[in-house]
Amino acid sequence: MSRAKFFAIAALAIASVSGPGRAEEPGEDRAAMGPEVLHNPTLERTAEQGILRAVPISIELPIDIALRARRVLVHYRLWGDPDWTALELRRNGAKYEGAIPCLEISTVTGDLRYYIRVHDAEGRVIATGASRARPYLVTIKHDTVLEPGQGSGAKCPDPADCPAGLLGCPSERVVEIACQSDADCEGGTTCSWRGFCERADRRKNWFTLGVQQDVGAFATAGACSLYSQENEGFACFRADDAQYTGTPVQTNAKLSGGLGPTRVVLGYERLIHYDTTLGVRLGWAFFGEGPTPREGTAFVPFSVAARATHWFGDDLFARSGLRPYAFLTGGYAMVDVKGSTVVRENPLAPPYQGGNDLEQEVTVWKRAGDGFVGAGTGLAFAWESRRAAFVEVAAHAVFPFGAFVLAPSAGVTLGF
Amino acid sequence: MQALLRNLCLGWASAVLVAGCASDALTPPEARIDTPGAFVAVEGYYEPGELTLVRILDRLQFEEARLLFMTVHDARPETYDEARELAKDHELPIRELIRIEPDTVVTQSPHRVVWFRTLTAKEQERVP
Repeated sequence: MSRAKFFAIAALAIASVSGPGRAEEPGEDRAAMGPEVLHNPTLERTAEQGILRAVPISIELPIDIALRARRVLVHYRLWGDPDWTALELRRNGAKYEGAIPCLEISTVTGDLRYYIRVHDAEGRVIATGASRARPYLVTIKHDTVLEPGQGSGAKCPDPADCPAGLLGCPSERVVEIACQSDADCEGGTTCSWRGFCERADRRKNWFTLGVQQDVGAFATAGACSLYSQENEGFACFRADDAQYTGTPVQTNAKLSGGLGPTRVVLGYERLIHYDTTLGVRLGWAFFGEGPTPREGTAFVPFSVAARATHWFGDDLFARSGLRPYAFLTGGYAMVDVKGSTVVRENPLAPPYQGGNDLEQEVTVWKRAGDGFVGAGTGLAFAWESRRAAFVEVAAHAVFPFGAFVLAPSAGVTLGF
Repeated sequence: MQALLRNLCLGWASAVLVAGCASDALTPPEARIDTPGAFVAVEGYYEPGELTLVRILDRLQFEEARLLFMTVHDARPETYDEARELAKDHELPIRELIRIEPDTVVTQSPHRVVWFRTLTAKEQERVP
């Protein structure tokens, strides 16, 4: 038996001894306190091992941990290797066993470092043996400098004759490490939404700066009556710039519309899944405000909108490239839309305003709002995974003072 | 509630790009020869066969007669359509600022109400 194996079994024996004391603690309290530490005297954290020999590892967990354990992972780093590698131990009765492959040990001498993490069914780390900061050490030495008997044991066999999982042969390499939060992941990795640690340059917080140009359409039937102008957000102006206050005849007028306000938009979006963001956008209309009739409601340039966005593609935020998306949105905004219509005067009604022709074209401003709901689509181009430019267009149904508003916008977005 | 429904109607109607919720207007009311503000083209007012464009300022109704207060414009359209186009000009020259005539001056000659414009306060002041 090599010293490493001896050490590992000794460690788990101590772990077993140390387990029952904590087993009396309620499970909830233990979960709140963090992972259990499989205590091991520092002096026993070292062993020696010959080259080209696998490092077998066997651990027996305390019963309270064993009941909850689903995966036992060994994280190891070879001498000179900058990265940590993980392998999963196989359960064998009450023990978990595995081996650091002999081919990885190779002929390089030096310290092999490793530590053990025990995960529950949800990926939460419930116990650890040593740590990345204070790992177990196995010094790999050349056979010639080992004590007599230490270098014994089978050297690395032909990989073709050594199936994975057998003692002394390579264990199955762990590609994905289960986790529940970033705290369960190490080495710069984070816990993905699929429940595995991963290394990805994926930014979850995105700030947006853009410009939005509203374009609106609205029905002009009855728009220029006194009632509509006093109660429905319309304002009609004649060619001489006087507000129209005549007595129009109701006609089946067409839709009208045109440009609305131009806004600068500041947004924040949070990536809540690989393909989903939730966010809010604040806007300020700096151009395009219509006239406010006397005693009319003043224009509010501020706007705010919530949005939920679905991004079409596989983990788009982890890389650069095109990012098509669609979104639902709703919020608060006043939209002044300029249009025109022809007003026909009622000759038989008492005239309230002079100079109104039988028919005249008037400019109509619709102050639509203040609420809106809508949907839109867009395309972002990320020249880096954390920087992107976008163009999009949204269609808004504005209420209660109704209008149909298209809101194309463009800008840049930065991930943090 | 009516206003709200109307607004919603306008909003959704516009959202689906259909034309308004207003019902088709019935025959729109037209100005008559005694409607203040009406432009009337009268044939033979000055010269036989010629059209004269007058603007009705007011009327005075008696039991069996009616007086019209008119402004006579300095325009000689050859057709009613031309008279209509001339009447749309807010700066149309005036031949007689105020003239008071019985309505028979108009009704007993071929005539047509060609346009209408509500009177301004200044135009109303022409009436003595």
